[in-house]
Parts: sequence; C-alpha cells; structure tokens
Amino acid sequence: MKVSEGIKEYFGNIYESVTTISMGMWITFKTAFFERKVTLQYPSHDILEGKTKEASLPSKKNLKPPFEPLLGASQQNYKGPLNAQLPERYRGLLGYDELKCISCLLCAQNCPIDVIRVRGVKIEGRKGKAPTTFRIDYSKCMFCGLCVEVCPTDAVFFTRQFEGATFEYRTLIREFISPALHLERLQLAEVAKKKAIEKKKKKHESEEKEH
Amino acid sequence: MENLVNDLFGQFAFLQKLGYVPTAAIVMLTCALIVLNFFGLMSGLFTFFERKVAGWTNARRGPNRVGPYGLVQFMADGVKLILKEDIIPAAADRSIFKFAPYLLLLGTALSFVVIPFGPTWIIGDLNVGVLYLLATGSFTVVGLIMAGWASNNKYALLGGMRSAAQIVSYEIPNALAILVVVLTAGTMSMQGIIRAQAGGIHHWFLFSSPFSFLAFFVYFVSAIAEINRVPFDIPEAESELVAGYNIEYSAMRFGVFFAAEFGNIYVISAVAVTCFLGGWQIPFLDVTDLGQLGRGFGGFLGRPLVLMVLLLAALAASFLAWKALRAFFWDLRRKWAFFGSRFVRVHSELLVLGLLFAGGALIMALHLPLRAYLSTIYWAFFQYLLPFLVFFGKAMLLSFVVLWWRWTLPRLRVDQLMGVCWKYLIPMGFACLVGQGFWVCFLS
Repeated sequence: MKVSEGIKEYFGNIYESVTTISMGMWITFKTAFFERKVTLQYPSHDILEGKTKEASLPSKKNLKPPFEPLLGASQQNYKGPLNAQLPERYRGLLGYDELKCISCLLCAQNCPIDVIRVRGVKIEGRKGKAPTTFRIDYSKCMFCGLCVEVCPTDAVFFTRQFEGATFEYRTLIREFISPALHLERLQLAEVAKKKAIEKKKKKHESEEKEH
Repeated sequence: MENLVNDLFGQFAFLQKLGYVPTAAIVMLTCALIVLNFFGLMSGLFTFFERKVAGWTNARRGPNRVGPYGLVQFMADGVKLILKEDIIPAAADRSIFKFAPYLLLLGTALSFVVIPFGPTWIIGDLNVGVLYLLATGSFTVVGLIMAGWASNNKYALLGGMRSAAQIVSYEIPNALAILVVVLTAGTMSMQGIIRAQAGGIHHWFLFSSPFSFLAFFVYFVSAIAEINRVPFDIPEAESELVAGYNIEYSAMRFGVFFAAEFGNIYVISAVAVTCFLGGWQIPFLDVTDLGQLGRGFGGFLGRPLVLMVLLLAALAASFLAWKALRAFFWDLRRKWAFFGSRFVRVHSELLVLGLLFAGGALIMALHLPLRAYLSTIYWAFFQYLLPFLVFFGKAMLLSFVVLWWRWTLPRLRVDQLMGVCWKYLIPMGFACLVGQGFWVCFLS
C-alpha cells in the first residue's frame, strides 16, 4: 500500500465514523422527540372496554396517577377492544354457565390436576342434576381445555378474559355458584326428595290397592 | 469566600476554642455530607434519566408510575436493592470483594470535590484541580480489577482485565485533551479555567480555536471510554462476558457499582463543561460581576411602566390560578383521589404557572416598600443561583448526549476499541496540543 493511500484511508475512516455516527444519532433523536409513542399504558389507560379505566371507574382504589397526559398515541393505535382482537379459540379464564350444567362430573373427572369440584342435586323441572357447587382453583389450572372439550352441554367454556391476577392467593379459588343459590338448590332438592318419596309411596299404595 | 472549605472554616469560627483538629473534622464531615448527598442524588436521577432516554429512543414512554413523571423511581429501585440479599460467593476473596465497589464509589465521589457550580460554589478549588481529576479517575481501574479478581469468576476477571487495558489506554488522550485546555488557560484550577473563558461564547475553549474544538471531541470520546459507557463498555459486554466484573455482585453492592457509573456521567459532563463550554459563564452575556447586574435589575423592576406590564401579567395569572383552583375544588367535591384527579391531569401546569405569577403579583405589591431587601435577593440570584443553573443546564445537556450515544451506537470490538484509542485519538490529541501551542504563541 502506498503512503498516500494509507493517509486517504486514515482520514476516510475518521470522516466515515463522524458521518455515520451523526446519522445514527439523528435517527434516534427523531425517534425520541418527533415520533409518536407506541406505548399503550395498559392498566391505567385500559383498552379492554374501549375507554380509559379511570373514566369508567372513578374510585380511589382503581385510580392510578396518569401524570403524563394521554397524547392521542393510544387512540391512534386503538383497534377496538382487546378481547375482540384475540384469536378465535383463545384460552382465557374458564367460564361456566350454571343453567346448562347437568353436574355429570365429566369435567372434574377429566381434569388432570383436580382443579374442578362439582356437586349436584336432583331438583324438579331440570334435566340431569342441578349443580350446588362449581369451584375452579385457578392457582393450579393449566388451561389445558380438557374440561371444555369433554363438556356435553357446553356449560364449561373459555372466555376471553385474561386479567386473572389478584393480590391474594385464596381469591384464585373461584366459586361459580353463590352461597344463596347453593342453599336454595339444597332446599329445592329436599322438596324434590320429599315429593319423590311421596310419589313412591303413592305408587306403592296404588300398587298395593291393585293387588 | 473563594470556596466552600474556607467559607465553612469562617462559619465554624466559634468552634476555634476547641482547637484546630475538631473544627477541621467538622468542616470535612460537612463537605463530605454535601458531596455524598449530591452524588447520590445525581446518580439516582441519572438511572431514571437513562431509562427515560432509553424509552424515548425506542418510541416508548419510559418509567412514569412512581411519583410525578416517574421521578421517584430511583428511590424505589434503591429500596429494592437494599432489601435484597447480599450474596458473597464462597470462593471469593471476601475482604477485597466487599471493598471493591466502595473504592469505585470513592473515586467518583472524590471527583465532586473540585467540580464548580458557580463563581463561589465549589468544595475546594485546588490549584491542581484538573490533575486531581485525572488522578481520581484512575481509582476506577483499581476498583474494577479488584472486583474482577475477588469474584473468583473467569468472566469477572476478563472484564476486570479489559477495563484495565481500556482505562489505562484512554487516560492518555483524555490527559492530552485536558492539557490543551491547561495550555490555553495557563492554570490547572477549575475556577481559573472557567475565568479564562470569560467574555462571551467565542471565548469558550470549544469555539476559541480549531485545535481546542477538536480537543473537546477527543476529551469527550475518551472520557466516555474511561467510565465504561456504551459504545466502549467492553468490560461488561453482555454478549461476551455475561456481565463482566460485576457478575457475582448482588443487592446494594451491585447498586453501588451503578451509582458510581452514573455519578461518573455527571462528572465527565461537568469537566467537559468546565474545560470547554465555559462552565458557569452565561452565553451571549459578557458580564464579569454578575452581582452588579442583579443590583441594576432591582432598579429596572422599580420603573412604573415595567411595573404596570408585570401587574397585568400577574392579574392574568391570578385568573388562571383561580380557574385551576376551581377545578381542584370540583375534584374535592366528588371525592376523587387528588393525584389522579382532573385537576392534576388537566390543570397542573396551569396551577404552577398561576401560583408563580400570583406570587409575582404579591412581590410586585410589596416591591416598592421592600426594594432594599429585594435588591439583595436579586443580587443573590444573579451571583449564586443563575451561574449554578447555567452550569447545571450545560452539564445535563452533555449528559443527555452521553445517554443518547448509549442508545444509538453498538458496542466496539476489543481491537477496534484499542485502534480508536492508539491510532486515532492519541495522534489527534498530540496534534491538538502542538497546534494549540502555536495558536497560543502566535495567533492570540
């Protein structure tokens, strides 16, 4: 290599480093100060219901201080409620339709980690058994979907809810049937039992009479 | 009142009967308290600032949850780090392992002693100030090698060795660039260097000659390399060395490493501002005695026309403050949380402005009777606070550039790093030195 070429390369390197560094810095500068922020400030500026949370929940508990004003960026990126954007077969929290359930215990039996507990009683005017207890322990659930698959009446299904985080462990055990309904069911069951016994007696008596 | 140490000796004169040693001890402790508190605050704020800049360059928002604009984030981080378990590896050299981060911290904290904040705001204005800075900067090497060696981890050791190679090499261009400044200013004292740049922006060493202009870049690049910042952070290169010298550190010892690193950012920016950007000299304002300007201002504000305009502004501001206060009570009636309320979200700036101007109005009303006292306040503002704000603003601007570089440039390879130092920066430094010598001799 000639000396002149070496000198050319040397100063060329300096020139190149200065220009490329300033180009890179201009790019980051543009991004930092002139580009729209892409952040969706999720918990405080919620997009689940298509509006900000503090607008929907004006209580002390749910308010988080949004010190930086919402500058329209999130609205720009807003593509409708987040639930609606989720895929068709999204496995969110488990849902349960008490009216459809026949307490067949298939879900409880199929559950690989015994997360589901179902109890049912026979009451009048309802096919199968009516559930008195339906409990899912979300702290153990792995959302495998076997219960959903096996349910004959589609009473257990996946919702699109995914905000399952809580501050206390025990709140993850979710009761789907309220204590009031539970008691009502038990009473109805006793009524049904009595009626059945009476029916049986009547039947017995009528049979005896026939004899 | 040249510097804080002398001033404090004056303030504690009543302790003289205790003897010289106790007085000196109290003065030293006070200075240490000031330095360490400022250092802690700065490094804490820089962790926040770094994350904020990282967010901006990625089109994110950065931390904004803890405190206003996320400003208190660093305190939360600090509390977290202090509460975590401090793990020391069984095979580590315990005493050295424990001591290394504090040595690093010591080097940074000592640098704060000679950093000026105003014509009189400096802990100790040493006549070898710049040399002292170069010396304290070298504590970093010792600390890093000790950390790397004591960890008993090959990655840590490699990181330590790399840092030694890097810092020792980069000290040469660093010193050369500072030598250019010393040559021009004719003094090594930090205040002396700043005073040598008095008289407008074209007297700042950055713009006074082409050689010192180049020297500024030599200094800045080599200083960034000396504090192990990206793009020169090969001692802690994640992709090669996991975390480098601090791989075995946890809890607050780890935090201390980072406190030192972030404190160093402020130190190098402050030194760059002192040596090249005129320190606390105000741009476009050729004033030697700022206090005189303040005294003049007191008279200026006393003029009737000025007073009228200011009163009108104060009235408008009071109206704004009234609106903001109304929003505040609107929130209170609805029992909303204060900080999440409509008032804070919508009217916070309004309220601050309003209160500021209303306060101004109050001062206006009291101005004429209190003119004698107020002129002292103006004088104090121009003498102390304005230079401080100017210096701090310049330093923060340069620190922003340091952070900006981190989020722009990729890391250099080891051979490239050495190439930049030995092939480019050192020859450039020498060229600057020689050129500046001629410039000083013949052209000025």
